[in-house]
Amino acid sequence: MSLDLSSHLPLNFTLASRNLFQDRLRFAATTVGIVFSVVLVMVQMGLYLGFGRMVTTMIEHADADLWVMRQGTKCFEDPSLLGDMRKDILAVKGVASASPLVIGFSDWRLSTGEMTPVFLVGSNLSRNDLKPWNVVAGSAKALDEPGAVAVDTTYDKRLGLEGLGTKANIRGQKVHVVALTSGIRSFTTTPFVFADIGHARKFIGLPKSVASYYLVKLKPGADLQTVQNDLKTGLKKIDVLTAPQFAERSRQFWLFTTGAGAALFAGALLGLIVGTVIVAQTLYSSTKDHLPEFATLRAMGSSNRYIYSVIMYQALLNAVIGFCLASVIGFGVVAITTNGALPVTITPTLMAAIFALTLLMCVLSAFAAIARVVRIDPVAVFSQ
Amino acid sequence: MSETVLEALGVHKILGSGPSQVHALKDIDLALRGGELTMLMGPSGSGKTTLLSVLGLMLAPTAGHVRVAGVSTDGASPETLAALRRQHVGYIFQSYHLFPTLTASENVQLALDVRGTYGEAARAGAQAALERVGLAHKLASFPRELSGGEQQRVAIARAIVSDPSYVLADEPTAALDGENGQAIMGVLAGIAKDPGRGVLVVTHDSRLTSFANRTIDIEDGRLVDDRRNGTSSPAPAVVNGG
Repeated sequence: MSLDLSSHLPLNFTLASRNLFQDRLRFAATTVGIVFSVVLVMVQMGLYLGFGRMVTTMIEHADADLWVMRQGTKCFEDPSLLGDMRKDILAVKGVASASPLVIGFSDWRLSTGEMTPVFLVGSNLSRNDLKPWNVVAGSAKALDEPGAVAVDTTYDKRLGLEGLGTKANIRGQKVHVVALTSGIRSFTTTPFVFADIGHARKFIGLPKSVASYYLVKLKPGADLQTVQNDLKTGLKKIDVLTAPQFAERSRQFWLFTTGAGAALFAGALLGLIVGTVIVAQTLYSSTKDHLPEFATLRAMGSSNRYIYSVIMYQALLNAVIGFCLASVIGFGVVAITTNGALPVTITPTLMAAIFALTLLMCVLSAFAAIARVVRIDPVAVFSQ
Repeated sequence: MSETVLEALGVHKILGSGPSQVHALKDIDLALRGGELTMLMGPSGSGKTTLLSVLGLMLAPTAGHVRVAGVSTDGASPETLAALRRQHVGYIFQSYHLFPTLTASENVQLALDVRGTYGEAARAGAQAALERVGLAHKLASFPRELSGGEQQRVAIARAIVSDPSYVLADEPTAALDGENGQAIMGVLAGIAKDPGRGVLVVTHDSRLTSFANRTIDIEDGRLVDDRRNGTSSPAPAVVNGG
């Protein structure tokens, strides 16, 4: 027993869908245009989200109420250094602990002589300050061994990883891999290397007295805002930020100050423009081909609104079909890039936003066709 | 006595402007009554189609008045005219103007859909209208699957399904052979038997006048003769129907 869906749909929708599918070549061209446009927007925005997560991943995984950093520090990877101010920080009322964290670039040299830059992250591993997460092999606890490091499997080829126990040299010092993580990627594509703070200082070449950041934990009941203000006023040439504030500052720097975000948005905008033009062009030509039908509708006494609804249904059908196909491709891109250095991240919110954008794009495209139909004279039926 | 469903009083229509201006209709007085089939005959360029457009509320007269079921259309906006067409006018065109992507039933339902009647009521209405024109067995056929005569029957069903005050038919048999043309005129004559509905048919074919209660001739934008059932009055006679 077959189900005739068209008998349950509004007739203007039936007319719109049949007109749309009647010219299959034009429908295919329109769909390809929309899919291209939506996939482009999806990938650009997915990269933006992916980058946004990458540039803040360390901040979000650190166990700190407040970050103390040198004044003007732009992002987590900023090489600015602080002197030894642990005691000064601890002296501020409400502060429970202050742990130094060091970061910095160095070189990873394999036994074959190959060399690649790496980004060291050194923290106090006896505390939970900033330990490697998503450990898929080995253990972060082993990082207190001399020369022990943790690296991410994303960069296995660049680091010449052969599993746990892989040996290399950093700044002339022997290191061996005791833990492997998954998905800890860097926006700069330079591999992160986790180490105990003492070892990390040596790998980067920093004296014992300096730190890149102090991770501050508050005493129970202490007011965050008050402690933040007291630290700012009590210590000179420093910034004190909450984790969300520091994450936002890092995001702003990498995605906007460097122009990376603007480039992604420009790509997405280009996709929207291309999509709008393609849909507008095909809707207009479809409407032009069906002008005698619209004139007949007008002669039958149909309101302009009814005729617009036919065109709008065509536009919305285009949007829904194009979006569905683009989503399949988009999720394919997500699956392919999920373990790569540049992951495309698509969230439900992003999907909803792109669907709304697709609808908007197709509705805007319909206006050219509507403008053509507005001028239609019902008397035209007599000349056809 | 049947009521007047449409009146044109002193209607003039000037088309175009400047040197190409044409005085297409000149001082037209005409009344259509329910229960009558009226034929409008005249040579090409005589103003038949323009008159049909004015009576069908697609064109506003340059001067004069058109009243539909007692309602004046003076100064009506295009949307108001469209609303009056929805309420009172059924159209039948020479080349049918069916929607090729819709079935016969859907084509007829469309006339109800634009009037705000949907769903089962529209389907039942379309089925009844198609039964009336002898196409109950072609509900699900697309126009390409129908003969010319059948397509015109669908167009007639579409014109009457909303129970209009009057039906205007523009050369409804021109694209059909003699037999089908006669059959279509028979259907239109049947529709015109409804005392609440007038039918005006524009045609070149004088053989069809046997179906009409009344025949009006138009020449050079003027009504020149108005006769009923074989009687004739000299031009320019009073052409108010009655």
